[in-house]
Amino acid sequence: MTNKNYGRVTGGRIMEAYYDYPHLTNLVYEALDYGMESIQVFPNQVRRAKELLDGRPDAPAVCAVIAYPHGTFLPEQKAYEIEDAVQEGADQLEVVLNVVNVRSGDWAQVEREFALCRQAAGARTLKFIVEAEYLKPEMLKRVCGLAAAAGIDRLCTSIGVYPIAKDGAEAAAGAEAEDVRLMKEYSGGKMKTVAMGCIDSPERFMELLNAGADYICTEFAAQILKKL
Amino acid sequence: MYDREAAARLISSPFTSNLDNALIERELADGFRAGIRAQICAPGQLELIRRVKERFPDSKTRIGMVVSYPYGGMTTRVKCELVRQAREAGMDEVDIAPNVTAAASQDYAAVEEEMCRIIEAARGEIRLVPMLWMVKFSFETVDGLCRVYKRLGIDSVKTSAGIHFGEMLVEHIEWLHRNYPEFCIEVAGRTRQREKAEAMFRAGASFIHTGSWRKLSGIGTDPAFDGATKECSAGKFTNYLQEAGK
Repeated sequence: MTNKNYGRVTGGRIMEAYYDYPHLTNLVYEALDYGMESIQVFPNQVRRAKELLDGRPDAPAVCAVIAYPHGTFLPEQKAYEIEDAVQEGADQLEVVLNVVNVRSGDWAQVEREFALCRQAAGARTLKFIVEAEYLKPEMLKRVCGLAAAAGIDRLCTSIGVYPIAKDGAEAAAGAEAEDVRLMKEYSGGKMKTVAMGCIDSPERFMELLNAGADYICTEFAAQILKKL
Repeated sequence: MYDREAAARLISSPFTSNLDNALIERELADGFRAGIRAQICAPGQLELIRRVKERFPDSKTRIGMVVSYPYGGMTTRVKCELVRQAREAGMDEVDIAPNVTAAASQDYAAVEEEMCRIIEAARGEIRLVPMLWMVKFSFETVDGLCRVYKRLGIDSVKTSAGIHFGEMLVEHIEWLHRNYPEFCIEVAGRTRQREKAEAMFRAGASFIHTGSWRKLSGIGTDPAFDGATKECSAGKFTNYLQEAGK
């Protein structure tokens, strides 16, 4: 497999406070160079990214992150933001799930969130970040089932910015191979799985692909693809 | 500083994904009961925070909401809509993040234009507390943002966000207070020890935004998530006098 082949299952992203306009330009050209499937940007950078891509036929999809990075919004608020991002030109939408509702067992509200966002996104690719690091397997299973029933296209594992306490130490929570395996199993082939969060080396990239991830999204996409 | 004085200078925002609604309601109630400075909710919690506040009519704790927190990546249209919702829900304040990509690019005209529209949406009915991202931005960029906020008549700033690995230092506050003494400074970004909090106050901080408000007040322990079991413990008050007498 060449790095262009890997590019087709890779998303590049820049989601930090210190990234400026030249970083966005750089991401766009890296995505073109490596044939990346998509780039994820803040909604207020979608228009700029689309202008840079200038309608090229080999352009990656431009994905707007919604309710990012914490998903504690009402479904109506997320739908409003999705409609706004679509107006800006977003090809894909990546929504952070309201994980508080999941942890509270408020499944009716989880279903409403999937339904309203699906409606707002129309035919565009709709992904949800489920923050698997906060979910017990039974919660993750139910989320996958409801998302598949609502016609969600892809589920993403993590955000990768929040530190989490595990085994007495604190570290950034990111994609885990076990979460990818569970999400693949629970999705029953109805949705694609995206590994995301703290993927910073070719080894991690391959580990998650081998665990069954359909796509890998990472801030380090170009550096990783260059080494593969 | 007495414990109660410390509590009155702390701000909490229980909306992280490791919590559930029962824990959040309990956190909010405890915050109102303890009289902390403010509780800041997420956009999806407006109804909840108002409902819990009604149970504590004598509490002086203010209520607010975050808008596009912490990256400011939403479009101006969405930010203004959320400010409108917060205003109509009777929030006292909004913690708002500027367009960070514009700020990092030192495109202060874009930051200012957006902030003008947000001020219009607030209609003078809700206090705006914009962020500076001190743990990520250079002092030059922070200075550029402070100039914009000052020009627009904003009188309070939030230094950073606490969710990242960036840690606010006392030196940040000394710099900010020395150069912009007119600002009410709300510190956010990993202030988790009482000693450091008191040093922040001496350096010019007015309030500290923290997930560790019981610990910083010296009155107990705060919720903690265990990544191995995926369980979150509830915050607890501790009666130290009673414990000492045991």
